[in-house]
Amino acid sequence: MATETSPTPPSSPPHRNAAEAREALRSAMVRLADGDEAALEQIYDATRVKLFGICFRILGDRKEAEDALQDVYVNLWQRADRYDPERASPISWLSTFARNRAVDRLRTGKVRAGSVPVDEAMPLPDDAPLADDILVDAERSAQIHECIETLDDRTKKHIRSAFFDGYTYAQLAEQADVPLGTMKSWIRRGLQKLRACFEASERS
Amino acid sequence: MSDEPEIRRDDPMMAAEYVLGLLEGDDVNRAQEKLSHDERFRWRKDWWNNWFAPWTDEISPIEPPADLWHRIEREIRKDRSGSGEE
Repeated sequence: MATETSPTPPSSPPHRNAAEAREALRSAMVRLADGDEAALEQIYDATRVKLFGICFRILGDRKEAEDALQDVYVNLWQRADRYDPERASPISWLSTFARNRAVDRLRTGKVRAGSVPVDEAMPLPDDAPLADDILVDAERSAQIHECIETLDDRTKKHIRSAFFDGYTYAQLAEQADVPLGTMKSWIRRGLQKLRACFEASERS
Repeated sequence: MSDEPEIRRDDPMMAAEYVLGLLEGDDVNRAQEKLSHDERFRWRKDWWNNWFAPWTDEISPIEPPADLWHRIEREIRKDRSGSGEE
């Protein structure tokens, strides 16, 4: 891998590149399945700011997000054997897992959906560690954005809201004040388009 | 409403609806039931999740409270030592 002489951002560990960080996380996930507690702490250190961001974005409440995050890692520990490296990268799997746990919590009814306005980005504290940024798969990230951008604004808005706010079809329909069937066809048309776009970028 | 033809709700579509969390009630149960025995459906669920997961990169990372790790540690140790003494 070519090493550029560009200045290292102060927040990222200088001795590690993205491939090493991903490999470290992958190996920690393997050790976790063997009941290695230090592996859990390593995973926590590498992923907590990302996963807490996800939980907070979905739940819109700090206390709930903290409980959700705790639940994510405790569950990960208890069911570490469920991660299959053949099916997903560790960071994709963990992000999906955190989002699902947060959405589940939202659906238990204790928290109201949409506490955070759809497009309002949460402020990033200046001192937040960005170590997990190097786990980001920049290529995939760019591809999904490209595909999302092919959707019309209305469809994009509703699919975003499902993903980031945890809204169901029924909630989206109610919010947009349209019949459920209308919302379903809008979103299904969007999902069909996304699938075609994803498949096309896999072929290229 | 548009006059475009209705979209067919095939299995890949249903998997997308499931991973996004759009479904409720019986529709969720049906998807979960399918996941329990349909390998292709499971594969498609993973496929959508892998595509959608990097979308979370848009979310600003936030530092959780410093004591959260200790809360996790306490809980897994409690879990380890079974229901006996703390």
